[in-house]
Amino acid sequence: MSIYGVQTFLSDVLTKQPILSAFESDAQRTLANYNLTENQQRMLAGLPTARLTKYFWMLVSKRLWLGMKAFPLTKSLLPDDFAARFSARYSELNPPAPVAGSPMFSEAMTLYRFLVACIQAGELSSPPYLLDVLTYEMLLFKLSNSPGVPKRAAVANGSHPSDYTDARPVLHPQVEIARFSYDIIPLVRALQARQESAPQVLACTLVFLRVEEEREVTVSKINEATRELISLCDGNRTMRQIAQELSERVSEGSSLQSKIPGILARLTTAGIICSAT
Amino acid sequence: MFNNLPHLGVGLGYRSPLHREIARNPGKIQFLELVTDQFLYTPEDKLSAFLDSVRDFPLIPHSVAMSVGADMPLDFDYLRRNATFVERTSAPWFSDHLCFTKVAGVDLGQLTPLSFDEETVEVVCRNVAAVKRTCDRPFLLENITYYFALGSGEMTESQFITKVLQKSDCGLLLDLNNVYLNSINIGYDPYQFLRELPLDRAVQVHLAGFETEDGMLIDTHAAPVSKEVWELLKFVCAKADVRGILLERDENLDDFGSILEELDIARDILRRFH
Repeated sequence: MSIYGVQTFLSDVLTKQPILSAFESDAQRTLANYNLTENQQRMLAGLPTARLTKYFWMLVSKRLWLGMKAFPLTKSLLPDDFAARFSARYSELNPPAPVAGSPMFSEAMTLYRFLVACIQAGELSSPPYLLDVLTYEMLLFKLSNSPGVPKRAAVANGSHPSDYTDARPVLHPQVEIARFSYDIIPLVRALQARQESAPQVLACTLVFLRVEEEREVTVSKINEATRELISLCDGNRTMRQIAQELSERVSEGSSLQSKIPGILARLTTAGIICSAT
Repeated sequence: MFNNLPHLGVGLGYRSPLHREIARNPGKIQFLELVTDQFLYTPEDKLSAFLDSVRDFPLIPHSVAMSVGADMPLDFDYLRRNATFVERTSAPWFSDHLCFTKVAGVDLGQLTPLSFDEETVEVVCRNVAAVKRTCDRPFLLENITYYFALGSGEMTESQFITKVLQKSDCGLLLDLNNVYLNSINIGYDPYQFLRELPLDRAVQVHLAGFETEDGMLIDTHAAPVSKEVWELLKFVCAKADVRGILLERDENLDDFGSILEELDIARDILRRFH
């Protein structure tokens, strides 16, 4: 017999509400499910349930606090009673689980998914740009904390775009592309400066990019044509095929086709796309 | 092992929102304590830049999730990352908590109390030996705040801490706010508790503030240090050759001037006795 049984019970009772409730209503029966000596059972049966409950909620709020550290602007936009309203559900849906890697990263991503679900269910509808701000912060956090950022990868060793038209470009693993409903960059700046602003509804697409030598994540706005071009960089199509496909879609025809290799080359130099092979 | 450690003076727990103010005050902040866990998975380029930005300060790594009290093998990857970080900081010592935080790979995210008995002493000593195998700098264990006691009846907390420190040859990171909170929440005389500890092993002291919720004192690190804790600091400084006093503040960070004032108070107390 070891203290492992004691610690397993404590872990469960402090993180799983059904176990806590069962312990409150019948301590002996709950403890019988654990590998405990009589002395250990006696010791644990005497624990004050009010304090265990307090501990339980402290743990949940600590987890929320840890996850929220990744989303400071989102946190400032959430209603004051967010923790009171959502802690129980967060805990129930996301009991602590084994984590490989950074606990904060894991908690932040769990909280992100939870918040998105709440927003999409209309439970956190105000302000209307909340989802945009959350997505922006999540992508920034995710890329900032991703280990092993590779150096900029070239699609091929050729020095001129025409040299590598048979390469098959793909989005770089350290790049994220997202669409926003609001003009998110000035909105984020205003929130960071705690300035009053009237956010503009203006759909935009941003590229989030982190490369080793630049340390910080860079965020750039791209136009629809570039977004469409990047969406074709799936690692299957060659540059030649991408240029062909895109030029067929637009009226500019052959004049655009001639520009595409140059655009792809610039995206490669910027580290946004790289070779799939 | 502990007699040769440097006297660092009075320091502050590093918190990123305070970065600018901290960087401006290397004279008033004599060392920084870094929460190791926040850096274990930091990309190398960011870590290098950060360490460069705090190069004016001696650094003390302080982790929260070794889980030295857990009755299971420690997470070797965590220990290896911890040791690498300790080496990077060139710290004279490093620390974690006398508690458990993980069971079967699940991180509770909370410092959870141990039962004070011989079996647990053995478990902690076995785990501390594993920590020491990965990092040969002096290792301190911190007494935690707990809101319920596992009353095994075998020994008191002070006896338990003493046995662990002596058997594992660790230093003590004495959190005086935790001592005070436990003395009220659990019910004991904090001065008697301190008298029973091996204060010759008290290398570092933690100070912090607390808040009251539902009749319990909660270790929030969000308020100024209480007068009771300042008195405990005087008591300890009169008895122990403390190498560093560290103020922890996690929230209510806007008034940095008041944080510096607390560091001055601690420095005055330390000077009075050393």
